Amino acid sequence: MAAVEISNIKKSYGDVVALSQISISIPSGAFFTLLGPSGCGKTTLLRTIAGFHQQDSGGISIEGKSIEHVPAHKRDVGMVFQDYAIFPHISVADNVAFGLKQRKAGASEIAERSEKILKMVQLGEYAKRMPHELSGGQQQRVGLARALVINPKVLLMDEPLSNLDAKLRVDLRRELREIQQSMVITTIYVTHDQEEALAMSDIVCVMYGGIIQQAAAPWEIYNNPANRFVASFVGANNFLNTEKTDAGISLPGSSVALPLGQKLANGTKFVAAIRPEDIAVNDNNAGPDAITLEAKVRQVNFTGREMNVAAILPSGEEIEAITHPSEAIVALKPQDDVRFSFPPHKVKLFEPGVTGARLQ
Amino acid sequence: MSSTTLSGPAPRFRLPGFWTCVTIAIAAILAIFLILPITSVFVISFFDARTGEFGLSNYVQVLTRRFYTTALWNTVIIGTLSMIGASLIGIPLAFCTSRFRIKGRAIVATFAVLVLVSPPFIGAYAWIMLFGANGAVTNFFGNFGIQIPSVYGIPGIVAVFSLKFFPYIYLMTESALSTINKSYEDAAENLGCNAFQRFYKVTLPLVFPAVSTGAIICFVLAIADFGTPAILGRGVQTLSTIAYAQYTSEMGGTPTMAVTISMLMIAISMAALLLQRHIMSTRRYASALTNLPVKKSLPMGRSVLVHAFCYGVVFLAMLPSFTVLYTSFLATSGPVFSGGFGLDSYARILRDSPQAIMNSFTFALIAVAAISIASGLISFIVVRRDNAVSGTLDLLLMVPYLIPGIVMAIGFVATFRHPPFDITGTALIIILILFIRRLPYGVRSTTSILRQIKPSIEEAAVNLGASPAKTFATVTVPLMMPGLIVGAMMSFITAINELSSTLILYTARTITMPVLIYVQVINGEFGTAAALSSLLMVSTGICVFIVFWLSDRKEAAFV
Repeated sequence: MAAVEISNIKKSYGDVVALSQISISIPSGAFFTLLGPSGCGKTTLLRTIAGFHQQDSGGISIEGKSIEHVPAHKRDVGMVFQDYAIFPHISVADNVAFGLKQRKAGASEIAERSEKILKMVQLGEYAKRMPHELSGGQQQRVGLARALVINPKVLLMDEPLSNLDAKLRVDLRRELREIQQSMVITTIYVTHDQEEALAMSDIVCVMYGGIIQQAAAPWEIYNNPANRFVASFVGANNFLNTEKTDAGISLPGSSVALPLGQKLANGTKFVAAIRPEDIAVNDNNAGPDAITLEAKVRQVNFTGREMNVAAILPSGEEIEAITHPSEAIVALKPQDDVRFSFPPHKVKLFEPGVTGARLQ
Repeated sequence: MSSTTLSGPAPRFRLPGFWTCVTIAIAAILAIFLILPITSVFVISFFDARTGEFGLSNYVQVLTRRFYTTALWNTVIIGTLSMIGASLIGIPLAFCTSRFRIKGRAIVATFAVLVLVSPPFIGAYAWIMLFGANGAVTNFFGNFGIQIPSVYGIPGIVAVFSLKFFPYIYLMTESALSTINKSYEDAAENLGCNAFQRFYKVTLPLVFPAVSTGAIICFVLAIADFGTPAILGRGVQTLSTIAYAQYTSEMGGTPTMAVTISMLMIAISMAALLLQRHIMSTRRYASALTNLPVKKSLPMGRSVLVHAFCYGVVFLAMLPSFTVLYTSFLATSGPVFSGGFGLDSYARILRDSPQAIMNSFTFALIAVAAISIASGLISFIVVRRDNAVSGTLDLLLMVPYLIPGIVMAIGFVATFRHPPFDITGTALIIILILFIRRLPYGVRSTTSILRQIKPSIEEAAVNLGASPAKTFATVTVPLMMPGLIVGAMMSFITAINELSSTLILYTARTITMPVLIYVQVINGEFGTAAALSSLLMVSTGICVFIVFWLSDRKEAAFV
């Protein structure tokens, strides 16, 4: 049975549609991430589940029970906030105990459970501190402890790591995932950071314009994007315009036909996508099966671990490759000729438009 | 936000939530004690004073008869000149304290606040004691055959108002000048402006919103003030003095003419406010506060001049308060000063008027308690509940600032004199008018602190299982506490010094200190008036101290 079942949720603010017919079921114990750019509706959806927004129509049920008419304070879903929202006027221990007191837990039970959870988030020593004495990362650990201690049916997290610095974000990301897995708690996590989403989740749900674009495991999302938006938002991608001709579909400047779309009418327009890391630069071992494109270098950036080579195709379109650093490539200057090659099966075709569908 | 769903099971009946109930209650209170009195004043003004016929005849009279038109012109002239006078004092003072290193800047600011919170009529009669026909300074210079310009009439009233109200302009301009982005001034200098051009062409336009807001407050307060023109007028009538005179002569009947004059006063205040809003709407400046201005040290000569100016201004403005304090310790025998010092005046007020003292504190404290509760709830509705009602509430709470006390009091009498709701002559009506008139001070303070509290903190409490009411009590209120206390102090200060409305509503049993002071000044009993005034000033001073201690905005909290 799904832990959270969302059916046909709609929500608009005046003319602006925030959520448009959202339906999704989240399996029990899953780490489920809502990923998308700002304004895509992910936070609205999370806050609707928490009960801070009322949907215009549609239903939400948790563990089979409908919660539409349950006010926010009776929903029993733990929430971790982007800005921590630690009560500044009470101690760490009192913050953690807040939800237990609301549930009329006994004093000894409160003490025992608070202590255990604070140990779990590595704040055992900090129980008596006041929130302003803690760093941002520590405050967010309190936020996590406070939400977990009530044993919520679902844990909601609204960009909990976005206010922390990069190093801490990665550390806390691992820790969060470990705690989630050890407690086997269904978690709905909102983020706009695709790397965070891929690294932590069982299921990534990409949203755009109030619509779910694709919900799948991270590997699927990256390697099998359902439409052009997912392909462009998750990871980097080159998009090149092309169309079906008598010879099949090929990229301008290359005669190698793509193994796709043979049955389509001539003149149908497509966008071909190739990830920069799948492109080899001036590769002399590229065989005749590979697609090879001649271009002129625009800029070469060396970033240490890798190199970015940006170039202009004869069509005027831009293309970028990411390769291992090599001295030959570093030596390339703007306007130099450069050859990009990649295997045809790495190319994906999408219909034109921001959310154009994938051609299978 | 709709609480029903369009699909799914039929919407179940739900009791209205906590905040819905509170909103309804607050709306009802404001409707009865704010809108109703003003409406009844408005309606009465359209019924002819003698014939009772509906029409504009009262307005025609007020706008054509010399008696009224003179008062109208006097009011507008006094308001305008006082506003200009206050600006001429306030703006240079703000410039000096924000741009130059002034030793004891805190003292200057504290004095400005004390001037602001002391009742204006204290100033009026203190000036009479110094510069009046038989005043100390007048007599001193008289010995040398030098004649001092008269303190009575329009020049005197304007001088008193300018010195009384300049702190509004000073405090607002100062805080604007201290947060302005210095890069603008640097850019002007870089483009070839000298110091004066820079101030005149760049700095002043940038702080114009603050200056104009302060100026409008001065104007509105100056035209609404009753005590000063009543004491210093000597035949010069203003709208507020004739409204009061008409009201007392129409006592028992319908206060038609008083009410019509009141409407005129409201109209003038509104016009001033709309003018300021209009000017403001064409100038909107956003600035990233990256480069705050620095205070310059001045060379010795100019430093002495600037210090003399700053201290001179606040000392002059504080002079009435010093005079009152000094006078309160003069030995008296009956109403006459008998030479030397003594506590006779204090002994007399404790013996003769414990009722007024008790009343003042009781009424103000009860009103402030009610204000604190109401303002906490109202600011939550205004800040957190984003709907049509909250917007209306926010706007409605501007109204008490605009309505002169006399007008509000007449509205209360006109509204609440019909049995079984006849509460005229009771303590309740005074407490209620203090409550409604001073509520905006409380709401403003709690609203500004609530805007700084992140809503996610309350959402966290709700998410952890606390009901909306419980969240408000256990999370919001503790976090709002400094703002609640500051708001309480501000409303206490203004409530305990209230004269213009209580003068209309008081009876022998409900007399308050400001009313008694006014009566005593009119009767020439300066000793006891000074002792009562000193008592008021001390209680006010304690509140000021508490606000300074609790508010990180210090003196800026008072405007």
